[in-house]
Amino acid sequence: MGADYQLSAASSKVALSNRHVKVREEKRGTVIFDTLNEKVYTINETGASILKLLLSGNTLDDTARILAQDYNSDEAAVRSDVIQFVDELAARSLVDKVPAT
Amino acid sequence: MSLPLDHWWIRFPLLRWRRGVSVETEELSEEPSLDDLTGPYYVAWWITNRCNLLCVHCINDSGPFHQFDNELAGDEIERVARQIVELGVPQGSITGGEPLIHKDFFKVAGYLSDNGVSLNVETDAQLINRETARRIARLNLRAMQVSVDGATQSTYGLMRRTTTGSAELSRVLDAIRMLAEEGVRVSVNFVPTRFSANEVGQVIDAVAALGAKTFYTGRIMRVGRAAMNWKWLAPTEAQYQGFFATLNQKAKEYSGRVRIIYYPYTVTHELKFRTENPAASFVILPNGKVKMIASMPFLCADLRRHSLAEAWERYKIAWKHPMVREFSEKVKDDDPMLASNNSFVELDLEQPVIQSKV
Repeated sequence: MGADYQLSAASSKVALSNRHVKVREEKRGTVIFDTLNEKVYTINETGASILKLLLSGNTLDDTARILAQDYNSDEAAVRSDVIQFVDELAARSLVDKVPAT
Repeated sequence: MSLPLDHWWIRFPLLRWRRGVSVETEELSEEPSLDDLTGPYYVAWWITNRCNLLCVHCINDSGPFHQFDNELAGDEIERVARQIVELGVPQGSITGGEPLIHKDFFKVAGYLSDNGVSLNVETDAQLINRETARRIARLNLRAMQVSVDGATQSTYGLMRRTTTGSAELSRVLDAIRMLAEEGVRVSVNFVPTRFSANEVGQVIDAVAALGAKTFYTGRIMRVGRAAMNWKWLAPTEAQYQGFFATLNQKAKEYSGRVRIIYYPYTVTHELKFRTENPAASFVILPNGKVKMIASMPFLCADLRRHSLAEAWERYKIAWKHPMVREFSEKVKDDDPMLASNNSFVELDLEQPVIQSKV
């Protein structure tokens, strides 16, 4: 079950959950605005890299592969981090996972 | 090896909602240093000072004959809208006066909304019919914020005046219903006064039944026309106690269906806080001047002479200006000063600012 979930999650793409969630790069990280609930979140450079790759259309799997190369890290560990990050954003209704077409 | 994610999640709410027993309380929160930001988080665009109504508590002193004689128009409006988008401002509001009166309202709102600005529009809703509601629905707004200050025609009409009499409560209630039916997210704003505070429960019942999803309220702000009419408008503390009790009761009753949000601070409290923790937001006046905060008279830029990016830089400096800090200090002991919030004062920011001792 866990492995299946990871597999299907990894082949997903990610989109902002609605048009009122906004993202802006700032001098010290990237900011996500949940304007419907009037909340603001900042993420550091690593989180910003993940989000940027995902919002430009990469699947979670592609994103993990690119980042593993950039950070010279183990791909499975990076994939786990990416999925955890996306789950945290999804739990706050900032992004939705969408099946890759 | 994993990614360096240990500290990736730093959370700071812009407005911190305290979900207590029932009513959500909007709290003042510290925002990141303005110097770390590329632009404002929020721009309130007061697009005209002309209004169909002449409300007794209007903070902007708007009315049918109160249009500024030099309001932005045509290309100027388009330039400001374009700069809001270019600066990446994530959210904003269009206010007035009555924004729906402005001939370019739909053009401006549509442009901002289509280009990434999450937009809120503040209206008295008197001019909304079915066709207008449909046009508003196509704007994909964050919310249409409708003012409803009484549950009865006599109370509503006492606050919402026209040149010949009173505005009609039935019109605003019809407008809320039509907006909700067309899929527009409606939030309702209620200002308690000596003669309306006891009707808050009935207003919540009425607008909830019509489809409103959020209900905002707080203490009446002692600024603008409300400050001039303060003695007969301000509720007594006993009235406020009953008002809060009703809010709590209604928040329980409508839990999960209507958010009931209460802003607990007085203008003087907010000003004192903001002097040390400026918000990443400002107000654009109808004539393109940039006002630091609604409750103070100070202007820090002019969008006829400055770009919005320059206005942002000037805004950051303006909070250190001695006149601003002095006003914030004095107003603590002199509430009536707040009646001067629309007697605009242009700050001289060309000279080096010497920070006054607070």
